[in-house]
Amino acid sequence: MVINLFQKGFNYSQDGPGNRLVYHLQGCNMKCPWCSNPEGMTVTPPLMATGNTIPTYVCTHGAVVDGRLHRERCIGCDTHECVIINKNTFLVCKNKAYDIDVLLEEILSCRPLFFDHGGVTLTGGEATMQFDAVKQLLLLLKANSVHTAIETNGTHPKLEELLPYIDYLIMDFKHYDTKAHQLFTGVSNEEIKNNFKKVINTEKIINIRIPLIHGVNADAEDIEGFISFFKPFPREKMTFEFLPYHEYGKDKWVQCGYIYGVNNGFVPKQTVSHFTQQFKLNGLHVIHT
Amino acid sequence: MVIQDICTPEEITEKAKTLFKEEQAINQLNGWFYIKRIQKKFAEVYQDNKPELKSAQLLREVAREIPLSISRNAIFAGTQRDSFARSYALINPSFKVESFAGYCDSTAVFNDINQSDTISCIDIEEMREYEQSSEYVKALNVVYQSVKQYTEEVVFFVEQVTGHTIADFRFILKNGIHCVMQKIDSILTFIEDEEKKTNYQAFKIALETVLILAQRYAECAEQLGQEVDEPQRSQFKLMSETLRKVPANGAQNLYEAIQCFMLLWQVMCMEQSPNPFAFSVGNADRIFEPYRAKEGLSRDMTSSLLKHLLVFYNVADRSWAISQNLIVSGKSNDGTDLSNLTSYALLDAYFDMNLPQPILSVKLHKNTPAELYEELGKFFFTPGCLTPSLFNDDTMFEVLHQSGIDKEDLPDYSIAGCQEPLIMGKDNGNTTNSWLNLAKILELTLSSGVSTISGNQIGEISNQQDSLELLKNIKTNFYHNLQGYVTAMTTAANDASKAISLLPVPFLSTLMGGIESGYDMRDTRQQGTKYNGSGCLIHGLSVLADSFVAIECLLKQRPEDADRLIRALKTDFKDDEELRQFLLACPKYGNNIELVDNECAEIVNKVADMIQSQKNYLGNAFRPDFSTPSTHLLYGYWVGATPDGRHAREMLNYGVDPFYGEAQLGLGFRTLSYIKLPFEKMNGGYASHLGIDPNSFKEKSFEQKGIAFKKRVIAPLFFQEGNKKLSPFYVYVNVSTPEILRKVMENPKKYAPSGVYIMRIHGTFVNFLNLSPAIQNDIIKRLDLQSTKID
Repeated sequence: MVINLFQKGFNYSQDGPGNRLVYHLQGCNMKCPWCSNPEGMTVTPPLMATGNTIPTYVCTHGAVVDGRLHRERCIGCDTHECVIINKNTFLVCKNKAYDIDVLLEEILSCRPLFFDHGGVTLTGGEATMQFDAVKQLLLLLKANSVHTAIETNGTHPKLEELLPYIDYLIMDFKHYDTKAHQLFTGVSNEEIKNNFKKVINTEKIINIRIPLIHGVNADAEDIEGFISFFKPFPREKMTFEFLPYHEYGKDKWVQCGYIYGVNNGFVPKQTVSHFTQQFKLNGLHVIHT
Repeated sequence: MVIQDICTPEEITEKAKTLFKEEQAINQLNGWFYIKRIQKKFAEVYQDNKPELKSAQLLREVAREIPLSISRNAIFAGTQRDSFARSYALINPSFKVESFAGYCDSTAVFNDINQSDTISCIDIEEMREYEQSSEYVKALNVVYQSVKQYTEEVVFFVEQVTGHTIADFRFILKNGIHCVMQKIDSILTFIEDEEKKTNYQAFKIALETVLILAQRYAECAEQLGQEVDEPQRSQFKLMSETLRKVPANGAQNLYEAIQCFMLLWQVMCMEQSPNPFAFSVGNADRIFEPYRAKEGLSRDMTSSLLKHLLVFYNVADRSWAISQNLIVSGKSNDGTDLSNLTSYALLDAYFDMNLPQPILSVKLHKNTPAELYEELGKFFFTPGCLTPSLFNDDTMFEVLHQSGIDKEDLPDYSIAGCQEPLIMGKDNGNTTNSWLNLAKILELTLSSGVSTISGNQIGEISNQQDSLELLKNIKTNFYHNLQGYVTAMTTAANDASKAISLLPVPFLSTLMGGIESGYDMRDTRQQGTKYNGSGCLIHGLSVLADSFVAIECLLKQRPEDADRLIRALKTDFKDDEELRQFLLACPKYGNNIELVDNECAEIVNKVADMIQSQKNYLGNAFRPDFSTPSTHLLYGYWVGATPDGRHAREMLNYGVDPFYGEAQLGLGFRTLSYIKLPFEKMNGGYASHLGIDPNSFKEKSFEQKGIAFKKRVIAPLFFQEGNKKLSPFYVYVNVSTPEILRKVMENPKKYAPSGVYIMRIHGTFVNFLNLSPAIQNDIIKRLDLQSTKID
């Protein structure tokens, strides 16, 4: 069984406790226009044009003309010489398939760096898109006493099955309103709410992440919308973190050949403070990582 | 009367700052020339004496005649200014990589002297000729001539080592010079060995030098006292009284200890003038704490006095006395932390002064108190502030013990210069004796010994193999050739050591075990110090590892391109960018990839073993040191294209670091690559640098940032639980971003209003504003923040 990754690296206490090895899994069922990892959105990984001028020789099918990649000519190409044979630094595909055993070996070799109760975090893309492989890997990690975390958009219908193998659960919650959620992400939030309700009835704590994006979910009335949804649930079972909009991934959209669709998504500091304040006033526990 | 009765800490600090400004205004350094002139004047008088004795007598004459002065802002007498010339290339804004030709000409320093009222052009040329006719310079010229074909394109380089030791002043600080002289007198009553007898006589005369200086400075201070009003009058009276007491007798308080220390240091440098770089203090906090504790001096007052010690290390407008090193903290053999109040006072002094010299190093270990990390936070996270070098005692003790250092000496290891570990007062490591360029040897191995830079045949490599065979056997061929070059290098290095032994150093020898052994520390026939070795700085580690792996990938995936690779390397990939792109996309060191990380570890093992098997002039082992003090730029300039895809003349990798831009997965994976290296083999030291993005630390206070820095950067590197191997033992950091540094370059008045913006190149601090564009850009390039990403 293999897992497709497009990125890996360590961070400290941002995606779970302690120092963590974070794997980004390929593919996502949502299409959020503010995504900071656009190269992980599609199941079939995109070619990323990282150089200004791409040499013609990298593609033997004529998809590179005058230093530019003509992606329409890549449709149907199944040889991918540009990244397999004519290896180069101008056109890259970040995706790599790892056998689970190989990944486990790598994780175990990283143990010295799992300090301060650290471990492994699976994120994406959307980690649960590779459900069976993820379940298998999590099982192996628990068998080897490695602390596990997952960051998910919460849409997978069988999410509950993974819970026994997850030590730290991060769930994104982008919009309280079903229609708006569908509009901005391409996916309804009904399954997310279902999963939330299932998890909240277990012993797990859910760490909810809310991206704050101007024009999407950051207006005054949105505060009320979020709070109305969460308030009825046991407060000790939830934490909340607000992620103000940023454009760290904007260049990658261009490299992937996509059009970046957010115009002025930034929110002022006061908005984040106001959300934090109102959540706290309603007894909801806000954290910063 | 004590200093704290005369001045407040604030007043003493103010004087230190003014004194530094005075120093910065000096743009001529002629003292070393006066020293040469005095030595020449008396050379004939003492010409029939044995070299050791003659050296001591000439040093004494220098002490009698060198012009002395004391600034009205000084609270201590003494300077090391007279021992240095304006000749260290890297802190010169007009320095160019392309024109750097090494330091082969030991009379080149005469190009750095300016004519003045007292020094004419004729004086300079006469002195140059005199120097050129000396036995020492002639011997050194023979060495350089014999290996010119190798050093011209730096296959290797050799040098005679001056400075680069850590003298132990503690006995004299405590007991005074009279006590040592009495000891010598007592030895002379029974010693029969004629050579030793002469040496001891020389040692005694050399020690007398300090007393002469002290006496002259005391008179000077007395005179000054008569010219000023109170409270300065009392202050110069105290200075004068102190100089009549120390170093002749032991110091009784911190003020006396610092005064004594400065004069010993001054004479030590004068003896090796010009340019005895990289003398180090050792554990400054442990040296001075007993004297502070004796009078219960406060942290503030201690810090203010130490500020004058720091200013002492700065010479003229660009702080030319580079790579002198002070160390704080560390542990004892039983693991007890040895930090004390002086450690923190010294940190206070460093932070408040923020001077380009001397270097600050901090020894860390598993039990280092949180307080120390909290104190370090402000150093790391204040833009333009100096940052300390960090050493891991837990590993260092092991590495040194495995290489033959006695257990009781381990806590006394200190750093000479940038990162070379030596035992204080006991170790002559000749740390920069030889310099090896692995990447150049790879180039020559692939080109039948013909330089792809110049077309010159270098060495005796002849290749009968076709390209495919050559590449298949690349490692065997490389190590075979390496052995030949290493033998030639160490032979020449030993000859350079023999050349410098013609200039004995009786004064320094008394502080380096000479009183016990009876021999000069530079003696190449008898060992004057308890420990002795010779250093070899090894360049191009990861370029070589990446190249070996790229060749392996090529042979696996496209063996038909073997000829093509050899051709492409000769033309610097001029017509074959496609092949270069393939090579660049091969696995690179620094990303936790077994194949290439293991290759790197194997290179360290093999090269270190080869170096350690070489014997120096006393039959002791050479010490492998994987550091490249900005020479990764200079040596890279002479290396042709390499199979990892690196262009000709591009820099090499720095120390044991990945080639810049090749470690793409952040600090965690880079650390995992590091910890596979066999650090126990690097007993000469190694270099490693991390550029850290300050934006990754969101903590509010400096103290919190210091703790976070320990958790996220230092602990993963030094103190991983579960790492069965020896962890890394050295790192230095620059906490900045390319954007910040470019802003400083564009608008120094705004971003560095004091005129000082400290960054690190290798183990030394530099004022970023004083650097040439090549070095500034190297610092920016090697921040390489992608490789150290931690968020």
